[in-house]
Amino acid sequence: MDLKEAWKKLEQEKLNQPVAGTVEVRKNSKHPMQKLIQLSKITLAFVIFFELCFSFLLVIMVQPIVKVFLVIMIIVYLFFFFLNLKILRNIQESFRLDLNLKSTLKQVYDNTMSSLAFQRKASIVIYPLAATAGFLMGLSTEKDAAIMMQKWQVVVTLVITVIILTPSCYYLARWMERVSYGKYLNQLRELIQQFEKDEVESV
Amino acid sequence: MASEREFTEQIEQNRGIIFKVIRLYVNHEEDDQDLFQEILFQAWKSYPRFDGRSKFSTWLYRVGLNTVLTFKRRPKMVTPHEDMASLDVSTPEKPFKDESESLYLAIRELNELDRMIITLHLDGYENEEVAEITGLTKNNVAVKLHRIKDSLIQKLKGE
Repeated sequence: MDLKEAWKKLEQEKLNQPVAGTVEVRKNSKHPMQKLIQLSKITLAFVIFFELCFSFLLVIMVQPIVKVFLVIMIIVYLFFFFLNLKILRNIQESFRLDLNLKSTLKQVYDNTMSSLAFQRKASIVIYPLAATAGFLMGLSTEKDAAIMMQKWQVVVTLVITVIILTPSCYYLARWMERVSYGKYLNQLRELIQQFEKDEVESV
Repeated sequence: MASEREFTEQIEQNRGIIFKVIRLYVNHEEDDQDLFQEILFQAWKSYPRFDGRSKFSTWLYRVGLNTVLTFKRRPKMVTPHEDMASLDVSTPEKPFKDESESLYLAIRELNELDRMIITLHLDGYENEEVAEITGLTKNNVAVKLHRIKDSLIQKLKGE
């Protein structure tokens, strides 16, 4: 069989046939990287919203222990805001689909991994802090939180809350991450492995 | 500033490349339209960086392949074996009814990197251009190409 001849026939009969329903050019992208960029922007918007809420609570809350935790939350959120912004800029600048496939695959895979890793690391710090701040604010609505925190039962309850909430939220987030990106990352990894296998074979 | 009209004209002349990439790498018809739009979108986004050092068709091929292969695609519904069952494997007594269809099925059986190398070659790209598109070295492409061609011919002969 002459491959080139068969290929020409295949092109005419099948490959060059228009894809059904090609009418208009969309203005937005459904690419997973574009979705990650979108997700990063939404996260930034939420961080700004929470910073405003914490600042408002800082003004209206009177108990010092609650104020201290709110200040910690504001600083931590601010830190993650700039870190997220840095990652977002990095992804936006490096996301290019006009380079060669090998570097594109690595770039997309690394960016996806670093963005997801950032979300995971941020959650590990933020969940216990948020749980503690929420706990203290709840206490302060009824009694003096500082006095209440001197009781061992209250401290134990807080510790248990943090111990239960942090890993459950973390693993829930990881599960959602696997559902959303697990198969996609596998797909990219498989392709990268095809390149790596090839490099090993040719050495 | 890249001209939209210029871009549209170039796309019109080379749209077959987009169709081809979709037919070769997309497993579900439902993804066809999405991928077509996505390739157009990504090509338009990257167009300001197109410097004319390579042909527009080569550049579009690269953007198309990168887009399709980094897109979240639905997995194959049909297993490779089922796919092969429909392949009209030739025997001395029973030659191919349709060589091009058999070639298509055999190419779809290859892994995506091999598929890319052989289809670019069959499309008339030199090894150097294939290396530029994939990111492999020229020698690597030549070695792989030789191996893929052998395996394709054997598969098509039904050996």
